[in-house]
Amino acid sequence: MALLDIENVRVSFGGLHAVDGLSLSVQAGQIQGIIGPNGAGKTTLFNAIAGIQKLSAGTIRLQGREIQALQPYQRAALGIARTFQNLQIFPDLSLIENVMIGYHPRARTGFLAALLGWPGVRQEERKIEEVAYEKLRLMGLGDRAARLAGDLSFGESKLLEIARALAAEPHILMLDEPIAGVPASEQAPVVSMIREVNGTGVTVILVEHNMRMVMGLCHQILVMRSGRYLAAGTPKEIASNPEVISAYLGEEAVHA
Amino acid sequence: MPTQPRTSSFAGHRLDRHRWTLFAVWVLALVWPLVAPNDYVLSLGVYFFINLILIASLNVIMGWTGQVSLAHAAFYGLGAYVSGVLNTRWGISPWLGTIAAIAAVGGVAAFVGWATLRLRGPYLSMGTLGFSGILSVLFVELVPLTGGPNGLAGIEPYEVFGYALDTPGRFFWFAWLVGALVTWLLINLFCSVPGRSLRAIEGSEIGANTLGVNTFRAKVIAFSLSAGMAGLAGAMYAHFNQFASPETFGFFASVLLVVMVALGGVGSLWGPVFGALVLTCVPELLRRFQDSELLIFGLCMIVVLLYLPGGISSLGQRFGRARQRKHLVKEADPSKPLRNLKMESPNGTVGH
Amino acid sequence: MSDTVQLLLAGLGTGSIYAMVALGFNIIFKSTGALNFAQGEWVMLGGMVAATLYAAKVPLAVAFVVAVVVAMAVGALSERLVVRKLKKPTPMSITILTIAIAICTKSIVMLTLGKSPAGLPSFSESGPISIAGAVLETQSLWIIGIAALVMAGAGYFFNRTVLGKAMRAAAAQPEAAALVGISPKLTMSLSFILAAAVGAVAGVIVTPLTLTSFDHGTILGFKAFCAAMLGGLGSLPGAMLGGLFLGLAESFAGGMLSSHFKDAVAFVVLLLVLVKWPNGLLGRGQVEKV
Repeated sequence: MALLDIENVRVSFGGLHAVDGLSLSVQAGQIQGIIGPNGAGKTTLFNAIAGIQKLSAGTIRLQGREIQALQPYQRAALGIARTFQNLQIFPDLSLIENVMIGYHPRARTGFLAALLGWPGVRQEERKIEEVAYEKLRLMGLGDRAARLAGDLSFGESKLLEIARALAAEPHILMLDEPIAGVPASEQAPVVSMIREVNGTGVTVILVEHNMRMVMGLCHQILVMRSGRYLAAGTPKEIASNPEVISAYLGEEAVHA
Repeated sequence: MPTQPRTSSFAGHRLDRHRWTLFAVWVLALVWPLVAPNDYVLSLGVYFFINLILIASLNVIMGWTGQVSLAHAAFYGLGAYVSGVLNTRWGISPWLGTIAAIAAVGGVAAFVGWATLRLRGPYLSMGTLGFSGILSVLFVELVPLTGGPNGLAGIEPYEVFGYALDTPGRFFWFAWLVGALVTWLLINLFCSVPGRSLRAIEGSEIGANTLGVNTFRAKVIAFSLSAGMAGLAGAMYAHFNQFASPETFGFFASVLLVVMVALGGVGSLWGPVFGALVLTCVPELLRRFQDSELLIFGLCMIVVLLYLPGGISSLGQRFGRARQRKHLVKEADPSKPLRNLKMESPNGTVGH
Repeated sequence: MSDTVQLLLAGLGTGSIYAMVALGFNIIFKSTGALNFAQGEWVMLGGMVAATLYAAKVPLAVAFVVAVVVAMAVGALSERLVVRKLKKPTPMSITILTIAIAICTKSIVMLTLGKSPAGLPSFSESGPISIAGAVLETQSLWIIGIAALVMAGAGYFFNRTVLGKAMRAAAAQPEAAALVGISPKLTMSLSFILAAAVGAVAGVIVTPLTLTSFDHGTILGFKAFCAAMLGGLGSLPGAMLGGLFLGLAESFAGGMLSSHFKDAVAFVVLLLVLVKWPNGLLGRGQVEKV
């Protein structure tokens, strides 16, 4: 059984089908890329899996269990974490606090316990902070843990979001254009970090425009066009698929 | 590698720092009854703590969920009237009345919050605007209950073992204690998972939701808690003043509270202390300027809002943050390059 | 029957004022996302300046125009000297800043123009007239008429003129608008100036009926918020609808239920509308792109 089963999913806005009849199976432990020309519906599909976008039709199953009706916070509890293309960091909190919030699905401290200051709370706080600090250092931000997140550059903020998503130790890590906006010199560490995280058993789903990264990193790639499935397979299969080439580069390129 | 546990960890360090600040400020406040030349000045101390609780309550909503409530003076009034009416009309003890006030105001707010917080947007401001207006009218028109525009008189003071807290000198200790307790609870909340989740909502509601925070429920709980605190402040006011009148709790008062939260620093733990100081002391200080007092206040407000966007408390925060940075950089191992991708934590163990 | 007509016309009159003030309020909401607490004070400013000038023997029409110009200047100054200086202009920070501006405006008026109520004569000489058995002050007709003109003018401006459309564009997508040459600073200034102008006009035309004084603006602003929210924040036709709806609701509630609870009507209506239509009658949901 696949970890994530996306069946015949459709997302419509009025008469426009941003995603139409799309099916995909993501196996556990894989790095799944989603690519396609602009307007292909990648981000909409991504948002649908994450829970921010409601489906007009179709089902999404996580380990056999239907999740398409669940809110994002409920999916987080099931082990799905994501980052945002346009950033949703918490600018008025420090970096470490941002990442500590990522731990939330695993946290056990309840409202009343926190309010009254029960003994266990402090212990868990310490633990959360250690996890958070570790993730920050992983992304190269450890030296700035006390800084306000609002002071970071765009590239650094993307790294912060990844650290934050990792804090929950998710089963599925969804990355929305993780290296877009990250300076070229810092992209390689991010790529190898993704590989490492995947090495510990985390399934990764990523949307990205950087072809080299996608081809070099992903085990499986889904190509979309106009909201529909175009092709799926290993990087090698995709790279030699004439329809894919024509979708990106036009008809002539196929015969080039 | 030394296996030193991170007891001087960032989070624990911060919690302790806040608790020590609480201790210091409150010990300092003990001086007030000694230096106050008369009962009137002493009563300002009482109002300081009551205002502190009230402003802190609004700060929870504004700073921790990013919504502006325009009804907090009305909640304050509702708390005062609930406890006051129970006491004057049905002879209920001020203590029970206060508990009833907290529950009633918190409950009503849960309902208003439930109705208005479902969606993202300024709906809480709108709902609280309407709610504030309705309460104002009710305070004035339900004459048999509330005494109408002339106010509710004859509210009894608290009694502890037969000892009535009916003078500023006696009430001051009570207010001081309750203020400390409330601040203690807020500090606990601030440095904890639920508190952080609330503050995350202020930063990005979508982001918080994605990270596992049930944002709707959190907002409603925060709003209810916040209103309950305002109700507590109201009940305290009623039993100290022994009188309550509708003008105190109108729309303009709610707006003024919003201003005080902003002046103190929205979302900052210690902002309400400054806000309460301004709310309690500034009218006294400006009194001599008579008519110009409002203008001076308005101009000062503009200056603070433009040049101290984090509020007065941000001055203290800048200082604190500089110290934190030094502390955290010390913790990083200087012999390893900072961008180390190996998953090794400072005390040498890998993972947990 | 004549009672109903009476209530209807009175409601339309008050509603027109609410509509205009709500319009100004919405103009600023559209361009900044903030709730303009100074709107009511600009209304008061218009009325007070006109009344003071008239008392100093300035002809009514001139006083009207000068009052509106003064308000526009105040609006421009507020934006230029205050709002623009904000380091992080978020809706919340601008909202709170408008509170400060409101406080300053109100106290400056109090200090310069005095605390006593001031009035203006009715715009036309004739006394009350009778319509379908209802008695109506002619000023009410002026109010309805002028308000309709202003609303129509606003509609024309925002839908048909280049400048108006540019303002709407800048409000919806500031960066994109800047890229095509629409200066965000200019549109921001303009929205403040327009909102103040509309508010001042409302202030001048209502003064003959209700008198005005330095603290008159706050409660009016309060009601106008309700009207704007009722109609849908940011929707210009919504402001009109919300204002009229509110005026009529108040009038009928006051006439048929009790004058005591008349004020509460605004708020009850607001809450009811919010529960069912959180975006107001004409508003559209705020879509956040992720």
